[in-house]
Amino acid sequence: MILLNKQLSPLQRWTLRAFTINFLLLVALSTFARMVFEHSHPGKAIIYPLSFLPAIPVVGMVAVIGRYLSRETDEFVRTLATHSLLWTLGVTMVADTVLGALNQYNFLPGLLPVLNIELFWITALIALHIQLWRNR
Amino acid sequence: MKNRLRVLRAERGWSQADLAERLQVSRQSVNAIETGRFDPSLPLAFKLAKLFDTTIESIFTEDSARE
Repeated sequence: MILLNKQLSPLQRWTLRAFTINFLLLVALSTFARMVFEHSHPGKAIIYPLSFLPAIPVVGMVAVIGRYLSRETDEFVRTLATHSLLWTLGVTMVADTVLGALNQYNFLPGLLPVLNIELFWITALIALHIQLWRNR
Repeated sequence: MKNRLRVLRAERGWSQADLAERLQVSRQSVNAIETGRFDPSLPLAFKLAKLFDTTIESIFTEDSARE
């Protein structure tokens, strides 16, 4: 969606910026929550809000993507973006299921809390580039 | 769906980028429509028809339809 034209549209520029901010916020909040869990041993009243804290930027990312899809006026570009997102969600969910199962039985100790979103980013970039290559 | 977009565009001496600019879409969109990889929505089809001063059915035909 963002690389079809040499110059980004204002909407694409805004989307990329907002997505990056949310991603950085996610990394920061995940790290913060992990540190609190590991070093402070918080009580039950803190555990739940702390667990929800990193989810806030995830909601932000979904909102950013939704905003982009609803405002993109080029229907072909919107279709490419939707296809890329579907591939990205599919790969992330499959990987998450496999890694979740492995982690449950302690085959993957110390799994990074932001692994899902990193995988999402990488898959999104690959899917987008494949779409762009196919439609160059 | 087949279409005569490339012919109509060539008649006017427009590049894909020229047509894309007139339609306010990306050049890739025009290319995808011309090559039949993407079928435009009805509003975009109407826009094309208006731009070429013709009807939608004279631009687009079903794959199975005889020319």
